[in-house]
Amino acid sequence: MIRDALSKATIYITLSLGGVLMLLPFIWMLLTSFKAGNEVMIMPPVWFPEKFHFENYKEAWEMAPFGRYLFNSITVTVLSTIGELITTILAAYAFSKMNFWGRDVLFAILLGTMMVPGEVLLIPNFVLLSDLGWIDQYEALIIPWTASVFAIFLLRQFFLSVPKDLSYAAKIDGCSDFRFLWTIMVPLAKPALFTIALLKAIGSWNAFLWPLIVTSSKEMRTLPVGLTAFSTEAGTVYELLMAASTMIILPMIILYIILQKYIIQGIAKAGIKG
Amino acid sequence: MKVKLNNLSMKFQDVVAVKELNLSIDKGKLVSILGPSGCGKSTTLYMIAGIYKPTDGELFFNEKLMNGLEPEHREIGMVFQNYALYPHMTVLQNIMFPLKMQKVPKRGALLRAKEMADLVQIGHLLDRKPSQLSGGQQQRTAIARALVRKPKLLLFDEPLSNLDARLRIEMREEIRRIQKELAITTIFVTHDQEEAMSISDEVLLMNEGIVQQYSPPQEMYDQPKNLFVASFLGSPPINQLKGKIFGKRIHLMETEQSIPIETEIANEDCTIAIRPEAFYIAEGDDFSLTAKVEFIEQVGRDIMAIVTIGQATLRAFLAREDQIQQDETIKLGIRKTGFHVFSSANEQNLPIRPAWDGHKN
Repeated sequence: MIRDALSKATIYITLSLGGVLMLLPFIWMLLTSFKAGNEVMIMPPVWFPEKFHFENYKEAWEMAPFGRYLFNSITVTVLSTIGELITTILAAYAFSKMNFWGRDVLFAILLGTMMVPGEVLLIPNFVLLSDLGWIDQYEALIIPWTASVFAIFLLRQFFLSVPKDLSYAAKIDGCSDFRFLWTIMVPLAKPALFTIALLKAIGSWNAFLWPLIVTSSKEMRTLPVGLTAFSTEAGTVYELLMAASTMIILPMIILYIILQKYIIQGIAKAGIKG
Repeated sequence: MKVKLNNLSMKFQDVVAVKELNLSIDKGKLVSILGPSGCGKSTTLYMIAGIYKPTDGELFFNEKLMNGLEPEHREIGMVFQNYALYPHMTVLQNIMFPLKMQKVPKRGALLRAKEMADLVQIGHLLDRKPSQLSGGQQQRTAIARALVRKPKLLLFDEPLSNLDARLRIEMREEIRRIQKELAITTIFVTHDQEEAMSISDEVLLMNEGIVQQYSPPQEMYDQPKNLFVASFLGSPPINQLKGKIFGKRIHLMETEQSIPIETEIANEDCTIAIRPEAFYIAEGDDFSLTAKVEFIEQVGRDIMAIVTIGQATLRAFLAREDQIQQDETIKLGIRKTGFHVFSSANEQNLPIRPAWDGHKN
């Protein structure tokens, strides 16, 4: 009994320490966002501001067109997530359940592209988009991100684990390939799809480099790029930057909390194979 | 519906899975396709279902060519080994799914689905998900789903192999009951000879993609066309002895013993096959083989004696009253019905008549 409690205590204390360590930057961000300008860089550093300056948030919001940035970020995140889900579902089905000439070679090539670092593609992609006339447009922010090899791979593995008999049964029941995919496979793959969607949404929401490169006007900026507004030649206004950062990550945290429930449910369900 | 297969063949790359299969099934019959794994029995079923496209040959339902027709238009129902129920749908939704695909009006579909659920006795489980059902209940659901579109042909792909032994017997009787009640032509694939023997009107035995024999189960057991058929059916398996036909006798290899026969064949190497239950303890003037008892197993009603004749080890079912002892030398008579001789060259059953007397023939 006592040994059990002791080992449990050790586990929880270790985990808590790890948790706190991971949270520290967030806590620092949150606390800094309430500080007065002169408290930010003070030596020795202080954790808590003398007075909570809630007006930092209002000021930060007004320093740049954040309403517009928010709209852009939401648009880009939602559309690229939906786009990726659609392409992933179709591609994963083709690569797992359909037989066509050159399928496996094609898939191997696709996987091979994962080895190319994203930075290498920045310039060619930029040139391509500029030739298409998409620079500083929503197309540039969304379309290159509506397909992901990793997501296809993930979902393909999931689809492969679905027994063939299920598709045979559906075929005999009079269900077309397309209908089978949407009425049987997609509901079955819910946990995998939630994972893919969440990873995509977070990645898209936090994307910085690409939006920075392909947008030039303020109207097309997304939130992470908008944060550069707080860095001026005279230095960075940290308390406002932190206030804005806090606002920006809030939606992702909420999304994560909502989806987490589904993901855990999905994993738990997948565990009890019937 | 009448089913006819005409030289049906299936090749996967270089492997011939099914070779020139000819088969004709009468309306309302239950036919089992039996064979060891990899013999092409499931492939045959999948070709009949339309899931595989045969590489050669023709398939007819009621004289109508089916080769190019998609599965959904073949008026068939199919039940799979792992049930293949849609896991995210309830029992009722599963059963209704084929009707939904056919755009049957909802009310009619519901009635029909419930009728089928009652037929397979799962009417009280309609709101459950497949994962909340036992294996037997899942298979009943799968049967209801297969029947709901009123198919003319019902196909089973090893439907009982995932069930435990008792449930298997219950379900196979259930399948037979439903099949007779609906008088529906049925093809049943299995690797279990007992299953095939117990429920079929006819059995098709396959090996390595080739038909070995197609006949009623009892006939297949009593009159095997070749050594494979003889050795595949029966548990424990049929005893085999090497011999040579010489004059009016078959001489057993490596022994001084021989068996009297009548035949036109001379000088041919052969394999003698004798069912374990064909042996009995000889009396009086009965023809007999002399054997040494090596070991005795109690198997409930009978005893099983493991005996040697020369170098060969044989199994014999004997009566308990025979009171044989280990290491004893016994005289074994042979009932003519369980005695077969096959050519060593091509393993075909040879035209040979036993020519001995025994009081148990």
